[in-house]
Amino acid sequence: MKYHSLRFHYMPQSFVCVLKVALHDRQVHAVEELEKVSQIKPEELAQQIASKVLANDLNYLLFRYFISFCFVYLNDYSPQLLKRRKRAKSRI
Amino acid sequence: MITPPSCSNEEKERSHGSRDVYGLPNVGPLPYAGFGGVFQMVRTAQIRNDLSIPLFHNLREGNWILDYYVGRLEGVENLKEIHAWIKEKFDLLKIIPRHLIPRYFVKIINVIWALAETKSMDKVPEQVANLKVKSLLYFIAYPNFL
Repeated sequence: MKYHSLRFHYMPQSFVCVLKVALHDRQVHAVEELEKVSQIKPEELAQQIASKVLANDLNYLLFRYFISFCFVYLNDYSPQLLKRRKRAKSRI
Repeated sequence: MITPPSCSNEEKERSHGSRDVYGLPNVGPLPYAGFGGVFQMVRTAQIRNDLSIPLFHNLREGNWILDYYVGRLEGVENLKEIHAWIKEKFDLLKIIPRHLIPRYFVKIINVIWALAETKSMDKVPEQVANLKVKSLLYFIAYPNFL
């Protein structure tokens, strides 16, 4: 790729500079391929590449290896607690 | 906000000392070793339309973080296909002009996050899904109920 230096000594506020950069064909192809990424539907991609993925794998992909942490506020929504609350209500 | 304990030690242990949590220059180690470590930064940058964050500087300067994520997923049995997909996309990122890398990195991260969200919500039991609990952390904290 060729680079040319541009020097401006005076530039009015209304000045608009449009630079056209010629890319290599390989780069153009790569950009075109990457532009398609935003059109991917997560449901379809999940079926294609994440069919065998388990909860632990997702945890590793996004966060960490061990599931050793637990946020305190989440305890309020734990399934056991919800069951207990349901039972408690039914007794009353 | 409760800060989770660092996952540095477990990454070192898993990789036999060859890999740690990725550290950004002038920022420090990321909160998580996985894509969640950069997701908050990426989301904030998207909202503010800010391309000057340290993560993007790091991406423009070199491919270290791309290699880190690809290397981290290598050899994980159930993530083979995801690893191949991410490697393919990150290899494309290495070809394009460096100033364009942050833009497409963000797109890839968003797709990975959406994929994980879709996959996790599929696994959430119906009664939990009805509670409109859309937090990934919920599901991650209670994997045994899936």
